[in-house]
Amino acid sequence: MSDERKEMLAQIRKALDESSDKLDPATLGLLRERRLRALAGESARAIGTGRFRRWCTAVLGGGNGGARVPAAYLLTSLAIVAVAGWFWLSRPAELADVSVLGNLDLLTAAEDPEFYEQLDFYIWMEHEEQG
Amino acid sequence: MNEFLASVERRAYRMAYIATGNREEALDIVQDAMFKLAQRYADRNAEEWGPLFQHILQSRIRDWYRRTRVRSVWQRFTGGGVEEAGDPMDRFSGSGAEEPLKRTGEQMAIDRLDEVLRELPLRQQQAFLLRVWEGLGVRDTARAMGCSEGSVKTHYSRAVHRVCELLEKHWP
Repeated sequence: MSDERKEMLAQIRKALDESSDKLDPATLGLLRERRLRALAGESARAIGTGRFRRWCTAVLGGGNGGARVPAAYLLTSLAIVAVAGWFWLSRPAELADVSVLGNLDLLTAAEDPEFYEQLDFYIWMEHEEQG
Repeated sequence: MNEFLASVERRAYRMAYIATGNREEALDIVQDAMFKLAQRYADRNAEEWGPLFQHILQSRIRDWYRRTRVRSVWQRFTGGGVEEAGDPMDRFSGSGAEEPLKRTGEQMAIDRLDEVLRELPLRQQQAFLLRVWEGLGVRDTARAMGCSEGSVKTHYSRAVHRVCELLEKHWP
């Protein structure tokens, strides 16, 4: 390794040292709080679970900020997933409509459908011009 | 144990922050690593805590990385929206109390360094930080990262090359 690189790595080490020495008070306070929680036997995953519950509550509704997710929402979601999964898995491979899959990009595209209807015309015109 | 954790928490946080770019995620990682060390290895000799903590921390960072990858693939698959980015200012270390005008050249250099390190693949980033910052040898780095010494050498060498290349023009 060249002396220049060694010097640069030494500077990087110094910058990293300074960056951890000069953490802002808010972050230091949070770090201290997390350390005490960890020592008290609380894993951050518990916090993560709490966040997930709050997310579920926010997305699915139910409760005034509480952690309860209405059973009906969950059951409905599970039922939809189960039925979709059953259809997906039970469909024989040979019946898969290749043309539909092949045209999936067309079906999902944002272009005007009329553009695709006239595509044959554009292709023909290009052949004509080249020929 | 409290004393030991207090002595390593800042660096641990910075490592996790460089990997995740997010304060809350970094704090979660550090807390989990502390929790595991305290729960499982409190009765070990205090001299062993350092390497054990480093191993747990790197492993937690790797777990976070895998989870994020899976989440991102899933979001791409489902066409989901943009992931919660949180406060963009959180992406700058020490942003909380500082006014933009007070950001010194030193702070800008640290931000640039964070960006460059974040551009590295995770394994290269870990090897670089453990070797350059923590000053670990190849063997201890391999233990902390849970990989072979040969892999450490490869990751480290590539990381040094890349970091120097990216920083050369922008390093004070």
